[in-house]
Amino acid sequence: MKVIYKFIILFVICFLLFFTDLFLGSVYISFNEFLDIFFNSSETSEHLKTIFYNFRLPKAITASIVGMALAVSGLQMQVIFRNPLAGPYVLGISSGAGLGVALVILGLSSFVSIEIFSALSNWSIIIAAWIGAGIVLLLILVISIRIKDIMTLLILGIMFGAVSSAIVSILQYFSEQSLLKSYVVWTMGSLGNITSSELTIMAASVFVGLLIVVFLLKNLNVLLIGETYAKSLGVNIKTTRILIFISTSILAGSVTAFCGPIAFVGIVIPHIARMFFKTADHKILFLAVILFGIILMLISDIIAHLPGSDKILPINSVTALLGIPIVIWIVVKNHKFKLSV
Amino acid sequence: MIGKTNNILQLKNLSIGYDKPIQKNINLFADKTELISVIGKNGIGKSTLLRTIAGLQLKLSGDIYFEDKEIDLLNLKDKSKKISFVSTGAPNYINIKIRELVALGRFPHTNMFGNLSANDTKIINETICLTGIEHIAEKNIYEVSEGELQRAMIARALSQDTDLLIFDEPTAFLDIPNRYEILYLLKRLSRESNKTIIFSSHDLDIVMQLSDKIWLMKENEIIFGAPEDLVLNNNFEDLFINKNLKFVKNTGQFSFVIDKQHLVNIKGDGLIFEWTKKALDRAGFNYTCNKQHDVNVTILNSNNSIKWVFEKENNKFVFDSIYQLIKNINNLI
Repeated sequence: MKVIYKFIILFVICFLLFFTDLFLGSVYISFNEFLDIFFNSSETSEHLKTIFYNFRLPKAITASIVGMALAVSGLQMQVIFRNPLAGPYVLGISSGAGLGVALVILGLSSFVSIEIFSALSNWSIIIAAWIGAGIVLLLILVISIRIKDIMTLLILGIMFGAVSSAIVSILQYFSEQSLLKSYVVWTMGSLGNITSSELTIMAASVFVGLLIVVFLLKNLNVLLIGETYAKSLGVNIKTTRILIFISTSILAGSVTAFCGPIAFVGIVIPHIARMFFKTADHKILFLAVILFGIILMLISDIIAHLPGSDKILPINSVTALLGIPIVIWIVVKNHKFKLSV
Repeated sequence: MIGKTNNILQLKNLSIGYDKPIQKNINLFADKTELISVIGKNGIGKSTLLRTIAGLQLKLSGDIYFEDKEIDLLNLKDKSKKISFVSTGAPNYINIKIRELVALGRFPHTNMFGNLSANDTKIINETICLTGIEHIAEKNIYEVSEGELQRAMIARALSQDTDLLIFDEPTAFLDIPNRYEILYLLKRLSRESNKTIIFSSHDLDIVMQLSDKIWLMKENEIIFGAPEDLVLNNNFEDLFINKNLKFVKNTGQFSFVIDKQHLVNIKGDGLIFEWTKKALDRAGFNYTCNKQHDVNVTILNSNNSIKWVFEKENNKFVFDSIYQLIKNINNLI
């Protein structure tokens, strides 16, 4: 099958899933009402309009942005670390963000009253997560200037993650139950708690992150065969690495800041894209992981809302439960998987 | 003597190494279209030298000139249009088609997004033909043999379209036919494509047959010359300091030093005679040829059968293979 047909199929699936995600949810909207919202908005009840425009549409858009951002950062990490299990969080970005959030929810709240804390609201958590992710990125960058071996960087990234988690555990141990719960809820991820102004900022940062990656696609192709060969072909390894780290942090860091950590999307999607397109050309893979990322996140969101019920599952658990079997399937099915980056 | 215009690479007082120099004051040159092999024992700095020339590693001091221009003045991209590099083995664990792998060599020549022009595709097809990997071009790299993969890596370097190609032990890990084929391919490329090729290898016997020039790396110096010059100047003798090995000038090969006690006279002629000599040599016997002696091995070559007749004093034993002869000769002597 030609590459272009494959892309058309993926586009159509994305489009259908996007509308399915809008259509299905905890509140039942009949198909006619659904059509009315689009074509006869004057006759639609305000109630349904609110549900549609304030909840479902932002949520579906958020899901799509999260999917593409995590998938693209996972793709980059697997190439630069030459490791099939690398993902967006391998540098310790989500742990850094988690530490920032834990410090705000669990630490700061011990000093200020609950009223002031609530006033700080969403934005304080978002900013804390961003700062946490940013600090981890800075550490990685400083070290990557001195240390040439990429595997050492991988280990250090994992160690940063472990240190952050340890500190978070200490904070959790000493914190009140209600605060503890709000932190745990954050770690479960959420696509729905996002306002339109927040959404705009997230979309803008993800756009910047993706834009950087576009200029790295050529280098990613060569990095596949190793840094020595990449260098002999004229790639500036240091600059490329730094740009990859920055774009990954922007992408994964922003998603984590606004939606919490979301597991496995970044690891699974690059493998699916490589299997589907059977290519090592990152120009194709870039677009492919974006589409597959959107597809997986929309499916996860549809499942998370358990259509027909009023319960919502934590999105982080849904992506893990969907993602893990796919990883296992790929490993078992493909004997030549090896470290199939 | 040597026309300066013909130089493609010059090393002047070059010191190489990581923190401490492994080799100091290297003064060597490569002429256009030469096939140069780098020989020396492990750890002597072959890889370091090749990686330094290829710009993958910093020199410690001295100068490297590419076509009379100091190489450090070139930026990474320009350098990658002049020198390509292939090392031992090939990338593992990745999912990439042979054709895609070869196409990566066009990297320095393509635009910002790496789109291949018609000319790029033409060059890729040509190098695939030249290296004889058409039949595997659409296969994934894990579906081909080590030798084929190494050809693909060479094709990738060729499609980079540089005048100088550097190969760091391209035949390590390959079986003997593949070693000959890969090195013969390098020879062909230097002849047919007018490339200058510098490669390191431990396959002394192949190198002696193919190279225009050898850079022989020793502890404190690098000697260069035609393979034959180095043999005649006794340069290989101390290459491997080992009392069990000696360099045989006639054959240009190393052979084992074996303590020899007994003397055997061999009677016969032709190819069988030559190989019987080799066998006795291997088994640790001195031999004379077609003379009179107490101990004789006579080769009887009648129409359908070859016999080796061992005679000592009045005892006579007949063997029908060299294997049998050698196996029993120690007990009989």
